[in-house]
Amino acid sequence: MLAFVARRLAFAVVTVLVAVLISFLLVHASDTTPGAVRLGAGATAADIAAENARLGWDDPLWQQFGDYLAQLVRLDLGTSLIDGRDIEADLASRLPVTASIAVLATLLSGVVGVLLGVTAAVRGGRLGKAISTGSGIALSLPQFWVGVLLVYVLSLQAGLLPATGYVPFSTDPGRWLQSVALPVLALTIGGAAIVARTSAASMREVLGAEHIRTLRATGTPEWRIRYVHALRSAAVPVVAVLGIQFIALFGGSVIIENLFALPGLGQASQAAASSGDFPALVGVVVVATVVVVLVNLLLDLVTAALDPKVRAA
Amino acid sequence: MSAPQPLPDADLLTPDEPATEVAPPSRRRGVPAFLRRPGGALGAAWLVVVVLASLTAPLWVPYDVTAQDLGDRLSLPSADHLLGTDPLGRDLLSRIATAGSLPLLSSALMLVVAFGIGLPLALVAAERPGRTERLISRATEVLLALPATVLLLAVIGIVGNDIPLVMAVFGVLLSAAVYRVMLGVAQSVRQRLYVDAARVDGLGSVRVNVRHVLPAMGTVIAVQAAQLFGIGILVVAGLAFLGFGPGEPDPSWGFMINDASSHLFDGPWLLVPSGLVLALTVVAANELADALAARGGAGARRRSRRARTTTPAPAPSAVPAADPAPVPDDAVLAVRDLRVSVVDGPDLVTGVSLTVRRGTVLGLVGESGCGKSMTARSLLGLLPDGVEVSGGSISFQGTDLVGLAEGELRGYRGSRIALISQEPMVALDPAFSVATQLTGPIRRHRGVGRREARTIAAQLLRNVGIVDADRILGSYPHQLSGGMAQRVCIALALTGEPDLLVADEPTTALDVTVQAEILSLLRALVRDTGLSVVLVTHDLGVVADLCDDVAVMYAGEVVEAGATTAVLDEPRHPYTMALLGADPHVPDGEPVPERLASIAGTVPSPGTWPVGCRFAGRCLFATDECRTPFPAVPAHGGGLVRCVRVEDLALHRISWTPEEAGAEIAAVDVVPTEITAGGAR
Amino acid sequence: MTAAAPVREDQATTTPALEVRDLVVRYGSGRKARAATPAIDGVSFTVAPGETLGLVGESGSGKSTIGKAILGLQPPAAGRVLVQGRDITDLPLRKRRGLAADLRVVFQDPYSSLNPARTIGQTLVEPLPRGTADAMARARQALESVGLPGDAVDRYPTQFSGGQRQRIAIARSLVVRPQVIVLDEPVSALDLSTQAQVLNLLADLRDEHGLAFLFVAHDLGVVRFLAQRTVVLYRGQVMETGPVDDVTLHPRHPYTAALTSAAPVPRPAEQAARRAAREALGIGTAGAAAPSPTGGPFASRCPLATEICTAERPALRPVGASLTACHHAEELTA
Repeated sequence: MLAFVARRLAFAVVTVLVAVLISFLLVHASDTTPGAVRLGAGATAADIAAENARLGWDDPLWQQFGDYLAQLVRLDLGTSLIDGRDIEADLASRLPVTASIAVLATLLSGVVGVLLGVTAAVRGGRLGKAISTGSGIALSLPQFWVGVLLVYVLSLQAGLLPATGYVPFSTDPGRWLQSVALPVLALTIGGAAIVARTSAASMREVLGAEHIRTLRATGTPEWRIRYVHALRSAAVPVVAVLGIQFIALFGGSVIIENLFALPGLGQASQAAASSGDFPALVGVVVVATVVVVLVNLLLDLVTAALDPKVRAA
Repeated sequence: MSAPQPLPDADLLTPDEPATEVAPPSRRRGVPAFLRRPGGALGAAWLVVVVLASLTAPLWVPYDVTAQDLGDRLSLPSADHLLGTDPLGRDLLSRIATAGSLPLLSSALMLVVAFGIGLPLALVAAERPGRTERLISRATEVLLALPATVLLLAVIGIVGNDIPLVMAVFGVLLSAAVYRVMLGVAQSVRQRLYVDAARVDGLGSVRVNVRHVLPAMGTVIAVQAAQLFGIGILVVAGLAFLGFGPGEPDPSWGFMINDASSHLFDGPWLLVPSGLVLALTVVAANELADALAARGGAGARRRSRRARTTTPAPAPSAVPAADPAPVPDDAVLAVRDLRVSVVDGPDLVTGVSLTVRRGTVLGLVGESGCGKSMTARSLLGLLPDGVEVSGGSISFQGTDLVGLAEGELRGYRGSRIALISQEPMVALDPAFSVATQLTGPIRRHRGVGRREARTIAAQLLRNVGIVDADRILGSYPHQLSGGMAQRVCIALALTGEPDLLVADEPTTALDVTVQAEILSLLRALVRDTGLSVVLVTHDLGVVADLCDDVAVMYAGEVVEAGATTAVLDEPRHPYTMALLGADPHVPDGEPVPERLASIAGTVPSPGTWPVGCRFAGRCLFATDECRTPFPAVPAHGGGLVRCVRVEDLALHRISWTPEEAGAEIAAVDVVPTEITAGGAR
Repeated sequence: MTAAAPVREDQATTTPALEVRDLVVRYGSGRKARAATPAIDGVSFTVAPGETLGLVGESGSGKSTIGKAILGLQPPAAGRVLVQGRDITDLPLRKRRGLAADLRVVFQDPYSSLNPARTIGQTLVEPLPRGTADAMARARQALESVGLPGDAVDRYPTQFSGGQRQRIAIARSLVVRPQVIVLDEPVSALDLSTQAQVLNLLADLRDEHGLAFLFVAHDLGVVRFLAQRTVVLYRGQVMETGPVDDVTLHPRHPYTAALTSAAPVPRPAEQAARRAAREALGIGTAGAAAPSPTGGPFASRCPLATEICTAERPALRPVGASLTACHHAEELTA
């Protein structure tokens, strides 16, 4: 078990390194320079060159990469080219916004999706068909379009929820929940649909398996067969999908944060991308990669807990 | 997504081909199967319309995409503007149609890149397991763990709004996902023996892949491509929504939705056309993917439906005996005239009567497709979905189990009638330890506490010959060998102290030395506990070893029954004679025959049974009288023989002899029966 | 010549159709795999022209692995494979095209050994060199030689039953008129009556064309029907080899005795006697104890085992008409 965790951790470190390297190379493949971004459109070529020299842009690539890694180890992501703000502090304040939306949406997708999926698999018939058709459509809908529709219906027409803005949890938990409700809902519709499909398919497959017949043959009550034995085996692929969902939601938050004006990581990456703020961009990539890697690690542990075969490997 | 199978009997029908199986071209004639599903047909149609309309947009759109008409802002659909106008009075239909080519083409580019990298890598990795495969897999794992959206934004931040280039980069990231799926498929295709056979034929690596591996991957490639295409469209639209796309005044689907979101008060209609076109395109791609994925299943369903509608209810081949055989006093189980059928379909088993005396073993023997497993499973009421007992009675210790409600039957299962099955390795729940799987039923059947249940479990394991019971209790099924797993299954069957054990081919999957151990164990259980056993097997040697009585089944009915010594030593039905003559196992003193007896043709499938003797079509001794219904003849003491010529054969001492040497290569088979039966295999 | 050289004198002078010398196969790569016991550990045997050699063993014995190593599907770690005296051990599969004419295979599973997307004809002509003029005619001829109509070349595998497919698989190996055919459990997926047809067919073909078969099987009864000599494998090592009737009727190795006595015969009285004899042997439960790394692989289950059996791996030595790898072979015969 310890070796397993160590292996996954080593892999996580490699992944972060690769992410940094890729974004680093991307930055250097660009035809603009940090000096040009920093000084804006009015700057002369000489000023830009001087600024680039000051920022270390002219140093050998490997040296810059080494410097950045050294910085990274100290948890220092540098400062923005645009407004000189501390990037790690900025991202640290934004992470909870994105994380809370992604976590809530994943949890809600999991609960709703598993309920629907298991119902479809166990009940079958017309209800099962309706669930599978409905989820097939729901998972294809563009999240931002669903988001706008929800704003129109729930916020503008019904007046139930605020359309935009974010209230930190520490300020007022009730209003925090209200402020994230719409974005979470917008993300959950597609997420729950994917989870529903996976859990229905997985549950159907397990219920047809030989060991389920053994349980029937020993007179095991049907509820126990379904919800203790079948669900446990069926949960393995569902957990994997939930992990992928979280990662997708975390990345997909860019659009939803833009739509609902939430001050999260997505907004920061959008702003950095449109202004060419290289350090901020790399910073977001690093933070996002770390989150993805950590979630994958968690996922591996949960899978190992559910599946004795994985545990042994 | 596996479709429910209407005829799910492994014993009677060949299983559905896996979805990755290529349908032979003969089945491809006419409309492709995936288009027969409404979702697939509509999805494909919509995609064709959108692609054609977008790519030809400059030729037909009614308005210039940038032509403003501030007097006609945010209008609803009208004759002038079929989809209405935007905040600047521009025609929505023209703008939506014109905007389509960018997401469609750049998603296509993304697909080309993703498959162009992922697919060859997968083929190479599948061909070279070991170091090459590990290396590629590790690399793609890292690629897969990168946050794609954020990375794409970084690309945009650096290269600008060059959407095709950005999507090509996205394709590179996606190639890791493509690789993963394709590797799994390619590996499973490479497991197929025809790939090995082609390699032995001396085909080069490229030709093996192109001729044998890739075609079998076609369905999965199509499914994944359709899904990823939908994702690509969504990503392009999402980027445009954020402003990373063709800038104003050029149209894009995503930015039109963004535009709509700021006009929710004055022009909510604006949200509908662009959003709907985008959503429908993605839905269409996914529906198409689903339909493609279900293609294999659809074929199977068609076949079985035909099998249902075209089969006339076959007349029972034998006239049932006027009064059913009397039930002996020491009978634990008495089955009379049992009929098992597919719901609204053909019969699988007819007119089966069996008696199991206390403390004896009854063997049900026959080749695949003879209905022996169905008969055994009906004893526990555990028939597959869509199969039911449609007649007769199953009297267990005086109670007729036919017609009992599911809840009442559950009271019998495990505690009075138990089951062990063919594949011990998959018969145990892989997620729970042996201890958990044993103590559950022990507590339920015997009403004891957790601690006592564990003690009983250990004792049961020792009873089935497991020496280190405590270690096995702590193990998981995947840690057990086949023989050990079957012992655990037998222990599990004994948790409720049943009176009858149904053993469905309990040793077929095991090695012969392990089989001998399991048979000895079953014999000891019968001797020591007075357990009765119904043993399903195809192996006459197993019958000879363990069974007191035997019933030989052919095409859904019992053709010969009686005491094992009588039936095996003096077989009277031609089928039994043929089976014995085909068995190469001879006792030590006898020479091995030069040629084995064989039976031409194959067992007729349910629904195609002939009237009269069902074996007549393959029997060496069949005459016209075999083709009319006749009653079974009492034989072997309390047994029977279902052969109208039984007296004839006995009189002339006719037995089923092997053909001459060389007969097999001389005789050209008559038209394969499967072909006349509609290619059902 | 190796320890498993042919027993019969007349064979020593002719070149064997197939010869395997000191074959070692390891699965996996890296340090761990090198440290583990190999799947095949020093196996040698020969098959004379026109002879059928049965390769018998239970699951995990490595019998199919040997077949794969001969065919080049699994590269051996050591040892040589010779077809008609020619060393093909290191010949890559692509270079074996010319050789395909000499060495052919029939696999166990008739459902997965034929590509469902290709016609029988397309499959049958595959081993022929490209541009063979009468390719289709030869395919038809091969089909007719296994008792199938020649026009089956235009049909697809799904249209045939298991037994017919296995005939097609045999036809596929005959189309190039080979000398040696590796039969990898060719009848174990078939029902009894179909199995009998295919066994008869194989016997007819062998007699008609003088083919040499390496017949891989788990069922000694089937091997006894088809083979003249047999090799009994256990955990990748040869336990006993010799004329098939000697090995099956007078086993010199305790494992062979266990194997032969475990196969039931369909005669209740004889089977009862066999069962009693088997139970008297006192063979240990399969998989109960791990074999000792230094000694014989069967020692942990063997009722005759003494200290020497776990300390020293027994070499194959002549006992009676067979070669046996057992320190105590004489005790079993007595």
